[in-house]
Amino acid sequence: MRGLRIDPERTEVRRLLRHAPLRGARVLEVGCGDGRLTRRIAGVVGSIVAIDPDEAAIARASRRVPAGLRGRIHFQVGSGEAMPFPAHSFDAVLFSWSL
Amino acid sequence: MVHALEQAHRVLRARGHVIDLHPERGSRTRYGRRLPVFVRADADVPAGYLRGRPGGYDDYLAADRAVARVLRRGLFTLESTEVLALRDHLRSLEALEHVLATEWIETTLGPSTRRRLQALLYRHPAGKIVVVEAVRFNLLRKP
Repeated sequence: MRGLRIDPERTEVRRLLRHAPLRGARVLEVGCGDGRLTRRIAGVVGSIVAIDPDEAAIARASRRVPAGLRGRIHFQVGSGEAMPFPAHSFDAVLFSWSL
Repeated sequence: MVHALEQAHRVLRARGHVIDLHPERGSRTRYGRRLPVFVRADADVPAGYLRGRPGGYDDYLAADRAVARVLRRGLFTLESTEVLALRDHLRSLEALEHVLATEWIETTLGPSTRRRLQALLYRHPAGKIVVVEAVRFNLLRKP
């Protein structure tokens, strides 16, 4: 959105990285939207799978992944009510405004 | 919501974490939720509040209840909880009105706050609008 910057002071990310053990972790983000938070934490986590039921948002998020983060982020359509992943496969699950 | 937390429990390794970020109910009034608005120039100058639709945050109250329920069932333990103040920046009143019309559709800008923003931005043409939102940050741990 032109003219809007969400949390440019990065309060959310700083607090996340200070309190949650995300460094090097395999993370599932539920409700990633256009991937704003995904991109901000992707440089620190080991890898991140980010899901959202909105296909258009996932398409936008996939286009916005910087080249340097492409191996770490995987976006896919999905919802928190039916997570299509094996048991015990993530170190952390992040509900970003989606619970 | 409880089902989503049960799903998270299933896909997490032992001692894995759930991080839950959602708007905090604490800043609600009976007229809806209030979001403080400032104009940031040399300092932050208060301009008033944006107002959420009454009942517009009921889903997030349900999220609080879902977290409480899985804690009672022992699926997770609560490692920490706190409220963050997130500040979103908008470059102009037009940008704010566009965001309210297209994205923050359950939030409104009342006439008195609008007039105050106009006056402050006239006085500080390089100032930007800052909207403060209280966000709950819960960190849960799978046993």
